[in-house]
Amino acid sequence: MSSDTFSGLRTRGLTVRYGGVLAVDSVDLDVSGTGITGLIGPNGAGKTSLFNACAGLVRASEGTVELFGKDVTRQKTHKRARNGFGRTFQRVELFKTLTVRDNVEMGHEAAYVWRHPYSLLRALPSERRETRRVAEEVMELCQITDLADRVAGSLSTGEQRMVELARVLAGPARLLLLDEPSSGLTSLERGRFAEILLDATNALGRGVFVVEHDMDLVARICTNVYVLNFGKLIFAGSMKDALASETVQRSYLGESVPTVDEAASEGAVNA
Amino acid sequence: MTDYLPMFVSGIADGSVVAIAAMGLVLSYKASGIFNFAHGAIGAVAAGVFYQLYHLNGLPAWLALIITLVAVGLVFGFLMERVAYFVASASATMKVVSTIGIMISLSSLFNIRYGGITKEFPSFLPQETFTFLDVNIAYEQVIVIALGLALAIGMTIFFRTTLLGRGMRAIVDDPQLVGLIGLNPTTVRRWAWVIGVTFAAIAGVFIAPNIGLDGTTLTLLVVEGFGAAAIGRFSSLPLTYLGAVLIQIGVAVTGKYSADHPSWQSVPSALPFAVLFLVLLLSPKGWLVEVGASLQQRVTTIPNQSRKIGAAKLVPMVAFIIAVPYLFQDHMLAWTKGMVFVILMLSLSLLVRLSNQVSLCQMTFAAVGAAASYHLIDHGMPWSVALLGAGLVAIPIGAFVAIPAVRLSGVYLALATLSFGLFMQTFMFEMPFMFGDNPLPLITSRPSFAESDKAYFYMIPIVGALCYGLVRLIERGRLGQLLRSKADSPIALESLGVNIALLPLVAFCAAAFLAGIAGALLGPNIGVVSKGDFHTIPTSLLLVALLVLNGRERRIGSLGASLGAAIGLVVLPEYITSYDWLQGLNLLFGVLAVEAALASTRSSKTKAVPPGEPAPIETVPGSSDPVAATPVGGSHVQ
Ligand SMILES: Nc1ncnc2c1ncn2[C@@H]1O[C@H](COP(=O)(O)OP(=O)(O)OP(=O)(O)O)[C@@H](O)[C@H]1O
Ligand SMILES: [Mg+2]
Repeated sequence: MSSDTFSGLRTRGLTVRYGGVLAVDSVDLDVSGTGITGLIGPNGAGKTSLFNACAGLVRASEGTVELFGKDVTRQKTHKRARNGFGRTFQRVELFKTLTVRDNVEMGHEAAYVWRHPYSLLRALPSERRETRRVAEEVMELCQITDLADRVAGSLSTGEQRMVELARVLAGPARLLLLDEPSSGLTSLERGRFAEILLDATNALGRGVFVVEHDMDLVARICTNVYVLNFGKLIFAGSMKDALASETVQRSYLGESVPTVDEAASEGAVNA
Repeated sequence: MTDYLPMFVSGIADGSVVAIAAMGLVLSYKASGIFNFAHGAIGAVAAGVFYQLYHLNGLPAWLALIITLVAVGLVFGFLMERVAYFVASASATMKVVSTIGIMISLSSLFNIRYGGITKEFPSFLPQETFTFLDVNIAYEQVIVIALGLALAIGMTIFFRTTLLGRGMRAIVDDPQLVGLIGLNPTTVRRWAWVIGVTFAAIAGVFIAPNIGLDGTTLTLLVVEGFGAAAIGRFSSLPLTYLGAVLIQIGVAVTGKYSADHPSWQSVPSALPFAVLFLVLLLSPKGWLVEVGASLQQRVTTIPNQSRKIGAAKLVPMVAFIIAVPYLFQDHMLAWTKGMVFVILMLSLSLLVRLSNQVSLCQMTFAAVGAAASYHLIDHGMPWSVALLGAGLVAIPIGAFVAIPAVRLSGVYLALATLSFGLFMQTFMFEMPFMFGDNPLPLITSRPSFAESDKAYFYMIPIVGALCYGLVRLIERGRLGQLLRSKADSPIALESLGVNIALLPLVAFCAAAFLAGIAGALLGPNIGVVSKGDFHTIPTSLLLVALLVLNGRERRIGSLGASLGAAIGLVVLPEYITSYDWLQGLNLLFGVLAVEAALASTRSSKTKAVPPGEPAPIETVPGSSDPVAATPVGGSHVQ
């Protein structure tokens, strides 16, 4: 679409319809491939639908998606992932019957699949070594090393969210789409989560685009933020401006909940 | 052309009967999310009941008909509603197995009562004919056509206008909504099943005079209705009706044509299955929506990975196999066949247990292997090369069947494999490059290094061990891990950059390879091989039923499960000489398969929330509004 290459995610006129429901209405995004960008909006605003349209899990009715300068609008989910998208889900999508280590390793190994005909049957020794190393490193970073041999389905929600994050961090994705990663977490876990996320973006150089209801958390980690309401983008800009903006206050935080603190606690209840 | 006019009339008449069955099937599927593979067997049972009342007890036809329809409709309607209710949350495989189990049970009961030989079924409708446009038309045909049309129109109106009908359409996706409009969901489901089953009964009774009282043929005829249901997207009654009529016109017309063109001989019987397979093959993504899939628990109920077999298990197993020729001298061939079936079972367990896919055409792959090895040896290939060749030839066939598997899952994949198996059986088996249209079996030979019964017996477990090695390699390797991951969460795997569409294809190729090898081993055992050894119904279906039966026991693992199933399916019947007891054994398998399917939901319910852990809290967008939360086609990705 545009000739200048943008390092990150760029959408133009992205629209998602489910039958008659207009879930995402002509949204333009320019999400940087570095740092953390937030996406906020009330329940049913279309945040998940927007993510799914970017990642290719739902088909956009209109508009284009560009990833690190490459038009991926027509690509399937797995192709987009190979072009740099990583993803966690609002409802945790773990490989529940596998161990935590297997989950995280799969995050890394996925990139090797289909590389050579033999790749389906077994891992090459070099691939195996690299996978082990990366998985250990990431589990360390996410502080789940002690859970490594547990079956993922048996963990608490908070632990599962960490495993999901570790899995996507173990892969080569350059831009992570995280859908409400802190819902179901205790406040202690939330604090830890924020640190890990900041670490990951700084140390590993990944970009993060995060849907989050917890305004405290958003204010703490995000530099820029988009606000979605009824499928429409009603604000794009820095976090500070968002908190000051009248429109954002009115539509997202609601007339009766004017302060950031209360909005944050409401988010926690929703989660 | 005028020669063909009568064919159109009889096609429409047959089509009307098949349409009635197909509409009943669609109705119960829509209302319950359970695709009833036993639909045809229920039709056959109804024909049997009517035969008893009308022919044997001498009741007037109308009375016999009413009693049959009411009794069969109520008994099976209520029964199916309960079964469907309990397996609603089971895995797709278990849903399929539950009704296949019922089908096997009913067929056995039918055979116990009426024997395996076709009995003439007295016609009960007026046989007089009249001439219209130079065509002789029987009043019987007019009655059947009118009945089909009336039921099609009546049901369509019923669905559109009545409260109960509308409730039936909505019930699966939204039981609460049905509750809101003042209907009891259980009542709605029950009546949907009663109507659906009654339709099967009507079809069974009205078609029987044409083909006689024969359980298998009656069952198959209703399976022909599956193709019509597919044309109606398993949802639209008018389209289903139209599909059935068109298919049966095709059958009648090609039947007439083939009378003068012997090469077309098998086209009529293959046509309905070809249509079903093609519709499933060509349907665009999202065109067929699996009803009730959202109710499925995302817990894998079948153990995924078999345990490593330790020496503790291996030593007795090997000792037993070595002892078999000495212990069971009189039944050596049966035990050899049993060993071959272990390989077949292994191939199936690769799909069912590892890849969570169900194949109802495993015997077809075996047939391809058997035919391939025969022809390869015939062309001068060494025996062992031909054996490998048999496996390799089956691979592209597996890949072909798996094309629907790329987009379809659950019940639609089961249907695709079933229709493929039946199509191959009715059409391809007859081809000269397979078994030929000659009824004589092919003469097969054993390898020079294993001519004796004993040597040949010992050879099979050795080949089996190699096959098992391959299965283990796949299970423990990357493919196994990918398939397990995919079973747990396809969208997560996709989002990690794996092209998940091709994984089932690879699994199918591997399974077909193993089944092809098994097929090649089957013939040389008794010296001959024929198409009758590879029937989809019931053998392929029994394979699936037995596999899940054994799979219940986690400790057994894939090898133990395969061994147990093979012994049950092949060796045990060899010791039973009475026909009734043989059918009784099948009845037992059927009942146990249903039980296994029901038990799978019980065990997964307790597993879904591990003890001591709170259930994961899930937020559903717009959950306060039940209408908005209903997915409009496709999966609901969050
Ligand atoms: N598969 C679907 N079919 C039909 N409608 C859908 C589907 N998924 C979402 N919707 C609707 O689209 C709208 C946007 O939903 P979406 O899940 O994207 O919102 P969200 O901002 O992620 O909400 P939440 O904060 O609750 O997660 C909602 O009205 C929802 O009901
Ligand atoms: Mg959401």
